Amino acid sequence: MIKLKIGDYSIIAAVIICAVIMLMPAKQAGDRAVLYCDGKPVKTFDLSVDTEFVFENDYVNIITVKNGSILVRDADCPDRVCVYSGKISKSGQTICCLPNKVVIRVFTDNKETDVISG
Amino acid sequence: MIAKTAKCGVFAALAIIVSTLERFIPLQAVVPVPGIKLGLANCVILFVLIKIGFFYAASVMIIKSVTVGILFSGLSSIIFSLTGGFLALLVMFVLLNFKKLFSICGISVAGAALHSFGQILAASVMLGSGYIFGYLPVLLLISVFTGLLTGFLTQILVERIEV
Repeated sequence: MIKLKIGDYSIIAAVIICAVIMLMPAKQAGDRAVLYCDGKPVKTFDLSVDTEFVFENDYVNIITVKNGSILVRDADCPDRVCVYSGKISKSGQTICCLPNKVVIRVFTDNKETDVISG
Repeated sequence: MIAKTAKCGVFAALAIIVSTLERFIPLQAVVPVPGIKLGLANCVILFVLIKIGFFYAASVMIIKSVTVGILFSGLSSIIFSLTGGFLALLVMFVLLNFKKLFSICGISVAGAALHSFGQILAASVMLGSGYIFGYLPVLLLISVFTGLLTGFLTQILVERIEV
């Protein structure tokens, strides 16, 4: 079957270590979410207020805020990755809809946990 | 030269076919990350890289990315695919020079990981937002599995098929 060499193990280890390091920052509950389109902030959601918002660009994303988390409830984009992403509530978590050029990211004011800023 | 070019045409067609078939595997419903896929076309490209050469593999990669993009997913995905494809091809080309250290599986994992990175890099430039890098860890972990799978398949192909 598969015979791996020493270099193969080091590649696999390196990739996994990179991934784990990037996952490390402790996630804490967020209090607001920002919707970006084309890199520009479009709308800020207060996660403590349940609401629904329809965002239209090339496609339509139906965004729902409920019980402190935000999700894309429905969308007519071709891949529907944004819908499959489910709900997010922790600071730093993101939902992307590449076809619609949309990024939704959760923030918190408690502590600066952003490792990567855009 | 002419024979190699003709063979590359066949391999390019094969790469387009496996990319098309792959679209019917709904991997993004299981792991909801943009741009996630098995990368079966990498079997074809890695095979061409090993058996024929770098420039032929690069041309197969470009033809496959552009054609699949035009057929199904649009201009932006062509750019993601080309950026990832070039990075993957370069790293696989470099690692193939150290055959004592690396087997095809390891080289394929490295290619898959670099493809993920290139895709995310292109997407973050296009979206104008670095936030999408948050998806990179998940993509990298998936790359290990998809890379091993495609590497294993390529290993079998390289042993059994003469070009």
